[in-house]
Amino acid sequence: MGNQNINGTKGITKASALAGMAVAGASVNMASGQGTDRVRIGLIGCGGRGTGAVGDAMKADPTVTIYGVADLFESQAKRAAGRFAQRYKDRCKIKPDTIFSGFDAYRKLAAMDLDYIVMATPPVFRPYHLRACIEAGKSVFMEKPVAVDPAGARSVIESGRLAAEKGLCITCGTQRRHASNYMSTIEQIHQGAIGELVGGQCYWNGGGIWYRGVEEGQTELEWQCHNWYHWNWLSGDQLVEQHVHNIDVLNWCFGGPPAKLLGMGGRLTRDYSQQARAAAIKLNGDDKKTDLYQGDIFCHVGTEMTYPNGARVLSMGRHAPKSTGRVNERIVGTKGYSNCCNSIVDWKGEKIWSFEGRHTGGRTEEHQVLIEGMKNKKPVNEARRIAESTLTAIGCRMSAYTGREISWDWLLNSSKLEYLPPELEKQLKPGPGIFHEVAVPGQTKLI
Amino acid sequence: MANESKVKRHVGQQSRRDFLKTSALSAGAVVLAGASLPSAYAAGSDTIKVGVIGCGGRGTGAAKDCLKANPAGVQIWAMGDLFKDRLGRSHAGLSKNFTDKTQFDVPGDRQFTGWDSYKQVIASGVDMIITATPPGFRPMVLKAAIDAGKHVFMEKPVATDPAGIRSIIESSSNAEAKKLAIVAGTQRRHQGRYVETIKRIHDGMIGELVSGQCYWNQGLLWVHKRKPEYSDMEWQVRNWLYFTWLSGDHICEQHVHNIDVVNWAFDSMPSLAYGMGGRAARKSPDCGNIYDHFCIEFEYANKARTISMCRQTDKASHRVGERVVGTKGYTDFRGRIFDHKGNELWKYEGPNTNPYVAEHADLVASIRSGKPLNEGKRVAESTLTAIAGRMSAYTGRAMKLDWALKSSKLDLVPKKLAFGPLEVRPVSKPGKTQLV
Repeated sequence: MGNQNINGTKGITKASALAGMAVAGASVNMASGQGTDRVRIGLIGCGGRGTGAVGDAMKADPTVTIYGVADLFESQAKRAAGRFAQRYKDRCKIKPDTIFSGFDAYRKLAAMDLDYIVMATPPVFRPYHLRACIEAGKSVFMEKPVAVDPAGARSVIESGRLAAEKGLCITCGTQRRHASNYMSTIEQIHQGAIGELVGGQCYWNGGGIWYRGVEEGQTELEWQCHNWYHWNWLSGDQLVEQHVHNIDVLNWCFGGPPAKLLGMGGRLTRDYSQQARAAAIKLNGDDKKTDLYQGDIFCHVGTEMTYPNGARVLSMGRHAPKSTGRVNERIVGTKGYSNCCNSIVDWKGEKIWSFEGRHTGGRTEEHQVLIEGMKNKKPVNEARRIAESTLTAIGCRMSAYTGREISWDWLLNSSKLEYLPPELEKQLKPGPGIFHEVAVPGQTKLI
Repeated sequence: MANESKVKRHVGQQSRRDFLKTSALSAGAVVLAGASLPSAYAAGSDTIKVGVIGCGGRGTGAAKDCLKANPAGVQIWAMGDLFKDRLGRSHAGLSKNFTDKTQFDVPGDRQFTGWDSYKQVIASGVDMIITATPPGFRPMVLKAAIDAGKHVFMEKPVATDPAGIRSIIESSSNAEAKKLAIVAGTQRRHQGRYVETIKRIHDGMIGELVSGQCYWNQGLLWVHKRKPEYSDMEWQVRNWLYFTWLSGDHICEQHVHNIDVVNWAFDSMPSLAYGMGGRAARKSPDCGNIYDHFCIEFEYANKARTISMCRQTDKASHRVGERVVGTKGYTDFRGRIFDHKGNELWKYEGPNTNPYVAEHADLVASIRSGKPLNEGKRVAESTLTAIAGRMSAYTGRAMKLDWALKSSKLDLVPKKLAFGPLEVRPVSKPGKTQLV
């Protein structure tokens, strides 16, 4: 005991970590050089999901301790640090000089002595943040989605490869992959409970999303990042940002991404004219940019995804008021079908299997798996898988935006779409925003 | 691919059915000789006199198809259209093609125009009518024809709202009682390749049906721009594709073909429609209030869910066709059935009948044999399926087909049909458009 390592350096044992006690004679964690047996984490992106993910990490392992936070906005970083200190007491070791802000805050956090970094910034930044953390030798828990374009997805795959070489761990926030009910059900499906897979459906049809106004002192670009959901270059559109969860479940069932995508969609019901006008007046003193400030994402996308075995499945993502909501998945085989999460029914309507175990939500487990992987030196690495599911959703969106059918091979290997190239990312600073036209199928170019 | 060339054909306004060859007749066409004539039609004559109601491209085409299918014993006798210019153009074309008066004989006093023209055609001494007006008018015309005891060939779709569907079903039921024939222009139902494939599906070759897809994704169609002299009503009727009350939207107007095939395979309407759609590239007010894309999920009674996709967008990927998937295999209706390993289970080797002609041959043969075909209820159900998909997309609400059929109060066609002011309803939006 006491000789197992985190991130390839000497550190705590699984047993000691779970006990939450210092282990006598344990060698120190060399990564910190502080003689700690804690799992040291930092957070990039201090919004609701970031602070929530830190809470999940805290539940996952009693030795998890947070040492630093980074956010674009100083106020948000400080607010999160204050909340952590209050909530987690001595498991919060954030100091004034480990609260980082600005577009380059993540680099400073990545340079700290940490075991793993939690990242939950707007998706466009994920590939850059992941890369910096892996290069700095940190394991990573990252929220989904992990990119907004094929270039970003390729970068995540490459960082995943680099992490594997370095023995680092990466898990991500598609929590269904770590939820007991999903895991058991899909195991049944993989064992042939519903026969050959010949169809399926997945949906994230909900009501809508927040629209954030301009906060004091924000420039246009900073406000865009604050109100990130409404710009495709930041969020990847609803289809990528939310619906990736459901698409990921189907990819899981089929054992990989689809071969072909044919989608359609549009922007019909999103009306933020009042909020956008207020934002325009606050930022510019007039309302000329009202339309521009309404955002550029679609409100609905429906896509047919064809998997390599020829099965065609339906993906639907929508935000629309007063509409019928549906958020779930369904997989269809020659012998029956399943809701992917607790039930398998045959074509006579008889239930042939149901999940009887204890439900685990997956959000704590995705951190436990990461921590155990680090401790046991059996690195888990979900980078490629989540990059593929993210890219699947990106492909659905691109097909809907352009009206064109897309092949997986082209998407993965040849698409040149890149909203935030590295040279631009380096130069990001408070100032004018970045805007694109709302896509028009048949006119928006497929690149 | 065959389906793609079909799309191109449909893009041209009047060209789509002119490709047909008269030689491609179905077996039904040769039943004529020696058939005894039921008294239900043409008393004192063995000629079936036909009136054409709605003389646009499709009405003219259907008249041609009817004559090609029945080179003897069928005579176009009267014509009616709301617009004189459309009737004139159609009459000129048919006169040129059919110079034999025993086939085509429509003098000036049997050419009717205006809002009552359909009644005048029906009352002109015809045995059968061909109706190809904009779909919003179909229930009204069918009712008048069946009430007057006429056989009917009607183009698809057959209504634009549930009120119209109920009317079609009632008229079809009346036709049944009166032994009148109704054949609809969902011509795949008369196409050998489809008929034989469906037969095998129904015989169980691919097992129980568990999934399916159907598509009508293509480019833009014609637009009839407004002229200063047009009233609102005249412009809308001339430009009818783009107004939901007239066309039912393109999901109804075009895609009903493909939806009908999947319904046929399942041998029923779906039980649930859940859809989305919008107007993403179609911005011009010339294009009224219809959407440019729909993506609908239909769920059938056995819980199988199918995808329906349709789109009218230039420079977007095209796809027109159908596919059904069973527990033992699948087919895309191109003449072959496969198992799930990709082995061919069956191949269609029959003739490539021309379905646009065959449907008329089958219709006339059924009249002559005294066993009139009645496709009214069936095409009403497929039209309702498309309408329910549209209503679901317009309102954002999932919808039971049974509710749409029995309880929906949607009734879009104006009560007073006359030239004059007629507001264009706004483009539908989930959250704003009420489900009625």
